[in-house]
Amino acid sequence: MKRRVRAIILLLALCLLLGGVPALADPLWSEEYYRAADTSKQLSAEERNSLDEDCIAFMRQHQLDLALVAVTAEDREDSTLRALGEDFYDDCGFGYGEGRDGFLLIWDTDSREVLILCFGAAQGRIPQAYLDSAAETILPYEETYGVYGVLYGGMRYLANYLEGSSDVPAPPASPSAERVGEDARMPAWYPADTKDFSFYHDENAPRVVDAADIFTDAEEQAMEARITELRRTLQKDVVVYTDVSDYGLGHDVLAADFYDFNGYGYGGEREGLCLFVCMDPADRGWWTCATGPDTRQLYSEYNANLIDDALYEYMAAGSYGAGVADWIENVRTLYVKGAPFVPDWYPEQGAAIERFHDPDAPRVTDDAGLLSASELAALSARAAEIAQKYGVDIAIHTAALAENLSRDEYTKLYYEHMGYGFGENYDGILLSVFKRPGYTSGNRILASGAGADKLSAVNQERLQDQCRETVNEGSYYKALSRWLDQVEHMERTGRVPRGAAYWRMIALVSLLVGLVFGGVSLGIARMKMAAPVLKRDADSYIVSDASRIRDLGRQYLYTTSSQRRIPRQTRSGGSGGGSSFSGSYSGSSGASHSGSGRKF
Amino acid sequence: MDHVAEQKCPSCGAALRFDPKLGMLVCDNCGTKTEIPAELSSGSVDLEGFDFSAMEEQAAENGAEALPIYNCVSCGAEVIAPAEQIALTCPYCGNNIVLTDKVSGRLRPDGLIPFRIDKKHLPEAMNRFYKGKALLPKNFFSESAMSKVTGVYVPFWLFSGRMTGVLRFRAQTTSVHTRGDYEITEHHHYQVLRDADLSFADVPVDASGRIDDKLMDSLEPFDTADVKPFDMRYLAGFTADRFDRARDDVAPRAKSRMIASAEDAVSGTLTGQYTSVTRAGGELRAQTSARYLLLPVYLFSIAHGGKNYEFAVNGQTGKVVGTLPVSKSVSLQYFLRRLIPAASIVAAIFVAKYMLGA
Repeated sequence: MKRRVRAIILLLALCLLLGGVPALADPLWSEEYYRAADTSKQLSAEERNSLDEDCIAFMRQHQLDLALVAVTAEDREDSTLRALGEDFYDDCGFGYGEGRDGFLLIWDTDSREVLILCFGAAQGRIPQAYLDSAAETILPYEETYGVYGVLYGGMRYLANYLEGSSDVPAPPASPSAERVGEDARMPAWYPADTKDFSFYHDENAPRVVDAADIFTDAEEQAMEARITELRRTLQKDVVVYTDVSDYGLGHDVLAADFYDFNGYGYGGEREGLCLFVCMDPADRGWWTCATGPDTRQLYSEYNANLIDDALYEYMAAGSYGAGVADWIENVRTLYVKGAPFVPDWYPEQGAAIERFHDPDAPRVTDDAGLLSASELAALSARAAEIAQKYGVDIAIHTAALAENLSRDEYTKLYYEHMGYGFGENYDGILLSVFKRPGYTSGNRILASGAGADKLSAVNQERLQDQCRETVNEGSYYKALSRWLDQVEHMERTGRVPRGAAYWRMIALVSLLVGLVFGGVSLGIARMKMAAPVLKRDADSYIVSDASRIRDLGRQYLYTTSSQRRIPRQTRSGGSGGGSSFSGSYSGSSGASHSGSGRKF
Repeated sequence: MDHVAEQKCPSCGAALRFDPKLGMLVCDNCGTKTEIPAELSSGSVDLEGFDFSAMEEQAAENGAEALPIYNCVSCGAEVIAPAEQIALTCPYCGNNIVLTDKVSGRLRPDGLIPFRIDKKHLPEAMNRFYKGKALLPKNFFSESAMSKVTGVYVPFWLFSGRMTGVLRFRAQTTSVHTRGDYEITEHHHYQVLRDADLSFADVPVDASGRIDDKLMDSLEPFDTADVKPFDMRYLAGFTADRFDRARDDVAPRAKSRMIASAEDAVSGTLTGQYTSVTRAGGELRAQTSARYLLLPVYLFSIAHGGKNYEFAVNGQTGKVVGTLPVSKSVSLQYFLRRLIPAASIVAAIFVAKYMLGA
């Protein structure tokens, strides 16, 4: 019998290794082995992990260990089920505290005998008659829910007695279950009829529903308060929902269903965002569901990736509360400023900006950190000199801007924010250079009032091109100095001269065209010099009147085939976690949403 | 001398020559023109099954291999003629001589195509030939650079015959359709049969071993509708060779050309219907016959840069063939003369755009 026990223990240890669950050494109990075992091998890895987590939760709550074991007749050999269970409990080192208090539920799947053994302080906590009747209560679950249902039922059978409840609920959907059918268990909020569901707005519905219990109470309250404030100012809904399963619907559909069926959303289009965090050990991830045309437009693939990137850092580290709180702030910024990550000075969407002129504002600002102090001073002096000479304000700004804002819009707002421009029409020219570490740089030029007089489309293109070319050569200071020289030349002559690179390119293109033309011509000329060759055919001697070719038919032999998968869905990259974005999809109600999600 | 025939002017007794332009015998001394009556022509000789070795023996008997000496019937001078030569001009008196022993019996050609192009028109033909040959050395051609032009009746075997047989091909069609998320490509394989019966007429193969086959192939085509029964008077004023490669020796070349054309023609009936076609089997059987003709060719060479460049002109059509030298300096100039203007035009377009502010 010891040999069989060792085999079961080996199985538990192997499962632990494969499952990658860390065997944390808690002073009150040992986690060297899984607390759920099934020698008939009918439990999936997800089911076993889920039961193991339930047992640990049971132990934390009741200070009593719990192990759930399904064995076969072969495991028992000639011993009793009780003896097998006691050996197993002892050899695995189960038990809570010094007294090794706890229960072991052992079930012989062949003989259908169920036994609940009590150890240490667990003895006497539950009447023996209650324990003896366990089989009658939990074995019926086998038909519907399999081994997982019986073991889960046993765990709940014990927990209910300890918690003072007489009901034994049906097991939840298996963690590894496929999409549930109509009669399968769904969350309590899930409507019976999803197709004819009438949407409604419930102002008082909780906006943070933590069914997976991943937030502390304080975190949950703080989130709820912040969302209430946002809803009042934005008139857009923000919802956070966590659960331990997506009930076979998929993260995206469950997020949409939760939003659709619980009275969320503002206005006729039910504008809002819903974050669903799934804590299913086998499918851990989140999905953000966007509803309503305004929200869906704002929650573009690019913005979704940025927000998901930020959230991933928290979720992967297990900081769920902090991550979701940060997500709420990013959503607020998205709604208010049109992008999730913008500088503080960036105005809110639709906010009116009062124009002003600030003669003391720095004319060269280096937010991207591309210039030294001396370079900054030199450029500022040169810009001031040109401005004074031609009466047009000249400014340069470098920005480490995430590419989630319109660069043209950003440059315009910055010009206004800094108070650039002379006179009533705010005459001036601003060059914005955008550079983030790891990204190629870009630039935009804004001209206002008299600054636009000489900045024709051609001149603007040349100024931008030459600035980009010089930047590519590696020197921002050189590029910006040159840009100022070119602006000065433009103000003086009305024209921006071409750069040397342009003329080099022209020379190269001209030479290439000449080489190709000359080469082709020479080839044709050489072909005309071809020497006589032997004739290989006698086509011109065929007597067509006396010739015929008759089709004698064809015989089918065989068919070979090959296939290739047609790509259907666009996947977008992110910092990690297998990011995906869907521009349009439907929930169970048929309502249209967009959204993005990650695994972690 | 029994083996020597001459063409004498009936008026003054001077030597006659065949004038290609007039198609008559002409006396350059008194201007008398004499037609060649058709009835004087001899009938063709069936050369089917001709025994070349017997011809060689006959030639040996006639002393051809030993460069026999013939006496000119006009001036009596002794003339040495190579074994393959059947017509020549006496170097002493200019009399045109035909060595009749080499064109009689089994060696008699079935016919000939008379010269239609006069020798004096060759410079004009050469100028047409050079036209468009831009890489030719500048001083390559001048009339003085041409060697002595020889009008030669070159011996040819003209093969006619049928190619018959069933050819087998492996052919493939391709169809593409989608099934769910997959694109399915299907290749359907077939065996295709074609029954071919193709006739060929007068495929020429050079029967002279001393003349370059490539030159002679390139001279094609000859219009065989213009074939005349063999008459020695057409040879007057020209040289002529007899064949030194028997029909059976050159027949494989003719058959190879016919088979290539027949196979191309059969394959051509499959293109368009199938995505790929490969030959899988079957053979064409050849049934051929040949006739022995003399075809008119001018031969000359041009010396340049220490090399002789051989040329041939089709005496019937005026087509010129030959290997031309390519000048490196002319090639470089030709290349630069195209490169520089093309590059300049492109550059000018860009400059113009810049000047216009576009």
